[in-house]
Amino acid sequence: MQGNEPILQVEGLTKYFPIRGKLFERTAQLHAVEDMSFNVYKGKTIGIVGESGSGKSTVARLILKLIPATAGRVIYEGRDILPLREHQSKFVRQQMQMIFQDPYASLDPRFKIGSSLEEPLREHKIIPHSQMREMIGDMLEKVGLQREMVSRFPHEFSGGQRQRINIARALLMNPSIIICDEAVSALDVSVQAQVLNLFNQLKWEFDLTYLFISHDLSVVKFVSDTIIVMYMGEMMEMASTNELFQTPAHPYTQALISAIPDPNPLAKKQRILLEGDIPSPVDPPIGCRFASRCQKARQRCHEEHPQLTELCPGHAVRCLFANE
Amino acid sequence: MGRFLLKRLARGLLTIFFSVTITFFLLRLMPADPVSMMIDPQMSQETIDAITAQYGLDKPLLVQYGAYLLQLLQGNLGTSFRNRTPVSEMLMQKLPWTLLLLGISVSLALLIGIPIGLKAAKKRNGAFDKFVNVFTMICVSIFVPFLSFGLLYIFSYTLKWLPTGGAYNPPPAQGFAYILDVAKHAILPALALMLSNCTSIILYTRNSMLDVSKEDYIRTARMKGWDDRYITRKHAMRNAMIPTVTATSLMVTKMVGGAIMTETIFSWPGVGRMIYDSVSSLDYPVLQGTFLLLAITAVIVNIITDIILAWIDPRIKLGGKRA
Amino acid sequence: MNQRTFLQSFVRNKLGMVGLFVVLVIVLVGICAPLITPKPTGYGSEILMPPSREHPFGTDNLGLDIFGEIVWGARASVYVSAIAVCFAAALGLPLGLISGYFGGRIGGVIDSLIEIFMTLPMMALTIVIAAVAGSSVTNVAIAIGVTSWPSLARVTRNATMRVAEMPFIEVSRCLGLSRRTILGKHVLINVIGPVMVNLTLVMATAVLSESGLSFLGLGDPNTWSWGLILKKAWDTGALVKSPNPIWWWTFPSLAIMLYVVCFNILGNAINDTLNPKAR
Repeated sequence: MQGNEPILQVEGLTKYFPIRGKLFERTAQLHAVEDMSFNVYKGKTIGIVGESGSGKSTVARLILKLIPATAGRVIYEGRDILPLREHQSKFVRQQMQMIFQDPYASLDPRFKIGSSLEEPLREHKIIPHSQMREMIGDMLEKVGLQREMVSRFPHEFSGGQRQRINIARALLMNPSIIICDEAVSALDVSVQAQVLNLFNQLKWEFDLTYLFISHDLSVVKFVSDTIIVMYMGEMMEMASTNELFQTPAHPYTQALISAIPDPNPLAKKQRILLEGDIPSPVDPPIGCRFASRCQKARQRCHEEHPQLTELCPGHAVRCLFANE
Repeated sequence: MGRFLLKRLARGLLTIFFSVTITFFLLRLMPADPVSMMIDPQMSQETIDAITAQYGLDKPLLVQYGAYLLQLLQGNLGTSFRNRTPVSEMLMQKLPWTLLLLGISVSLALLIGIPIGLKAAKKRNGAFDKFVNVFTMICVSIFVPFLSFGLLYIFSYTLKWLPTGGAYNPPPAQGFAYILDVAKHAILPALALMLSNCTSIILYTRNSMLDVSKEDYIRTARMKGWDDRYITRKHAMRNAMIPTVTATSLMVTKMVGGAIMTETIFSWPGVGRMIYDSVSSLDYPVLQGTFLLLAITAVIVNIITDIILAWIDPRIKLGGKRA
Repeated sequence: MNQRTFLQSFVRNKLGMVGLFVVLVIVLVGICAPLITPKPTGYGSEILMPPSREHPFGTDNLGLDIFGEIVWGARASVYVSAIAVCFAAALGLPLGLISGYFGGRIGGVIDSLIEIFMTLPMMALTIVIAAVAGSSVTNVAIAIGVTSWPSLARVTRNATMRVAEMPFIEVSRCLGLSRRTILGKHVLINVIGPVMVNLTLVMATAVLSESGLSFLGLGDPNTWSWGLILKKAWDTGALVKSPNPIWWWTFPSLAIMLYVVCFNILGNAINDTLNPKAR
């Protein structure tokens, strides 16, 4: 399954946000992402799932160099891109694209769609000016819109249409990786399905690799080959989608899976309700970060920080009692 | 609270330091050097050199700047070119008059402006609100000399009720008669200063009152059936006052500058008039000194406002930021 | 709101259109002054004449036509306010954009600078600068310009901070757009509304400051400006003269007021169009 070389390697990626203390006070640090490592393989989709505040969006922003990392490496095609300066990393901006959560706010309201789509092409000088109109029109049709829409303003479109425009803009850059940060969360459920199908279809057509981030496990399941479960900035479990759903090893993953609504109303299902407080990310506990809400937590969980261990090839989990 | 005050004080000191620096270098940039103003053509070269040395003008600019700062720290603002008296002495003589004028204008603006703002907020877009809208528009757009001339024309020239200028009729009377005389002289300049600067008070009060009355706790109070006047006094006022206090500090800063024009027109013997005199006679040390004094006044007013704000709104103390 | 809908709803604001119209007329009068009336110089034969058919606004103590003085004065006011606004925009806009977009240490320094300038009595500083720079119309304009940037910088800064948080700015960074494109195009066009409102207010204040400086004798004594007419009236004791030449000091004052009021109305109209619910 993971035979080829990874296109993107994330190693020990860490982000602490300094919290501005008052004068003469020790500055506290918010542990947003802690020691994340994973590989993204060409043509595959990796999903990252977690609650809000779990650091999943921060991972996306770190990989795209939108915010500086505290530690770690992001190796794209064999080269660590994090130390690169802005002008050296132009290829990153072209090769990796991001689709954001809010399709309404992702387009500058003062520009027509056409000029919003043209602008990055011109900046990167990807295609000659004469072909731009043609390319943009084609791309709009590929994402399910009409060519004539270039002369309209963003506010004339629905949320789903705007997300399609954002996708078109990303694809025009001819990227190899697309990072979707809650790309369908703001859309109606029916539109979500359409856009997710579009993602799957474009993946084959453009030979894309996705990093798909969502709080919604069912959405992630629909598109991903591999899923990473994050909690409080840490990777709790990583496995192929099938394996994760069949043999979830981490209590948190089990709780998330149990919370997915079942379309069959008659199916009896044990829902695991998470109780307890989420600890402060400013001062994370020394033990397992999930221990305060874990049903299976024991004394040792509060004292010892679990390491990420491999259960079997391709399935890693951060739990002291994963084997039980 | 202590840290908040400290921060404000530091910023105030920085502002004053900044003004000192600006004026020093500005006045060194001026086309005519200050010595040439004191020299007459008959003076010998030795005398000229002596004067230059006396004022330290032969030294490098930064040394002069350092010496100037040292002088300032000792309260020495230099000597007037015109009448060779220490600037600080002249300023101390004029300052009380300016403070008196400012005091009257600020009190008038608050006494009149706040009730007007409150009343305008009571019925949004009502007749009174519309009138206030036009009135404030005129006030911000009126040229102070025009306002002053108008006042003088009506009250001094036509009605002959009030004097045309100065602060008292010489020779100064004694006791109560003197106070009355000064009061009579102060009415018109204070009115002019007040009218041309009171708009921010009215508008800030009105708008913040409108904002506050939309807040949930006011609605809740109203739904509980409490009397409107009680709600206004008990809940809305205190919160609505915060922008008004800020507006007051803005207003005073503007008034300090506006005093120059007003005092000049009404021959009021204050610091502002002194700026005019020193400009017309190119008396740079005095100009520098007066500007510094006005800057310090503005800084002090701002610090006082911040203290009042912190007292009204506890959030400010904690956050160290303005609401 | 995009440009088209903004213009459409602005045109519907009658008061705002009147303001714009009057401002344009005054600007036109200023530019075309020589075509309207000859520059009043020297001495006239009829001294202190009340308004008549020949002299619609009367004459001054030298027998000069006050209408002519006002028409020529419009020139200085228009010129000075325009230059001052350009200066204020050239300083305030970039400073506000930079401090609002980058924040951090540079932002903090610029913010402190703005705060310091806002605390100072600006009229006094303008006077000091004008006094040092010497009496010329351009110097007066520069003195006003360099002291009126702080409010513009603050408005720009606050608006920029709001815009910088919008997702489309992050998207632009993702797409590899240069800082210059992001700041100079996307941020700028989205803060232009509040900036325009502030610029009209700066314009209004600049006209008042220009008149004030001329009135205090800091302007060019050989160039007519509305403040200079008033200064001459005041210097010659027009107020205590009997009978009082009321036309001498009212007409120039009304000219100032008309110009300033119209800028303020224009600013309000833009503001109302941008935030229809505000008032």
